[in-house]
Amino acid sequence: MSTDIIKPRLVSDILIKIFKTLGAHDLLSALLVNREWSQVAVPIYWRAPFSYKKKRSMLALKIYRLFLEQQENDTIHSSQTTIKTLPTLYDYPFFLKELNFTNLLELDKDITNVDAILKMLTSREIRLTTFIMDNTGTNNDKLY
Amino acid sequence: KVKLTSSEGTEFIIDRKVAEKSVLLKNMLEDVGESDMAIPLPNVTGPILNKVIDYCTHHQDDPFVSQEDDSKKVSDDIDDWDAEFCKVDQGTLFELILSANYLDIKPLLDLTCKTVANMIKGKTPDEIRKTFNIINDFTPEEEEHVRKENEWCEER
Repeated sequence: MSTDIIKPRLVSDILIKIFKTLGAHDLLSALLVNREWSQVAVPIYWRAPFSYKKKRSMLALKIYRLFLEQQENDTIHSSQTTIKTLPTLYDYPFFLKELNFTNLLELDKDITNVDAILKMLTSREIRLTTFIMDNTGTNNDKLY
Repeated sequence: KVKLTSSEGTEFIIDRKVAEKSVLLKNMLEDVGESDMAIPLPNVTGPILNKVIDYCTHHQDDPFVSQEDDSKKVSDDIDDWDAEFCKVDQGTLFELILSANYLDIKPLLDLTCKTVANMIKGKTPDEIRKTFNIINDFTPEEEEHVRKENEWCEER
């Protein structure tokens, strides 16, 4: 009857709250701890992958490209019955909430690639909460 | 005065002002009004409730912090009393978090979560597992995937 026999465990809601206060490095460590931590930390880690360090944005771009390639493959063999498999362990683009468009353009100078990424996000109905476009041209110094 | 009973049935009598640090209790008291009936808290054990009351008593005159006012505070800004308050074993700390969550005491929840965050900071995944006694349930393949897909190269 008494509840104190059960070892207290941090539930996902609490983990989210804790992880939100962590920086990228600590979040990366957290998402490598175990499955549960990974599932909670990954969405937070991927909410704004183009807003921080260039090296990290490059990794994010590489991962996003895997999704683009797969989308192309899907349209080529577009039989209705195929179950869509992810090219990665998690559906990373799904977690995007903040897109720093200026940084993305800086990273991939080819506008058609950037366009393809935007199209993919639109077709997948990714809802952004923040879209950053810096037209002062000073962004490079600040972030990259 | 407000009467509370912990999960084992221990009775605590505290000032209404102290009780109202908990949004759950505040709402309950507003709905029920003054009453001699003890409020049962079946999710909170006596020792934990005692700690929670300590916290609420010490902070009873603090201004109320709203839910939205969640601007990213750095986790270093824990004052001495609060730091001392959080020097408890991990089980107690986790129980405090769960109770603060249940009783809806935002500053206590923030404080205890920050304390856990500070225990994570600067550690490797393996050190984190050791700290919190967590078993790595990834398969080696999964772990490799997670690493490859998330780790950006700082040097190299």
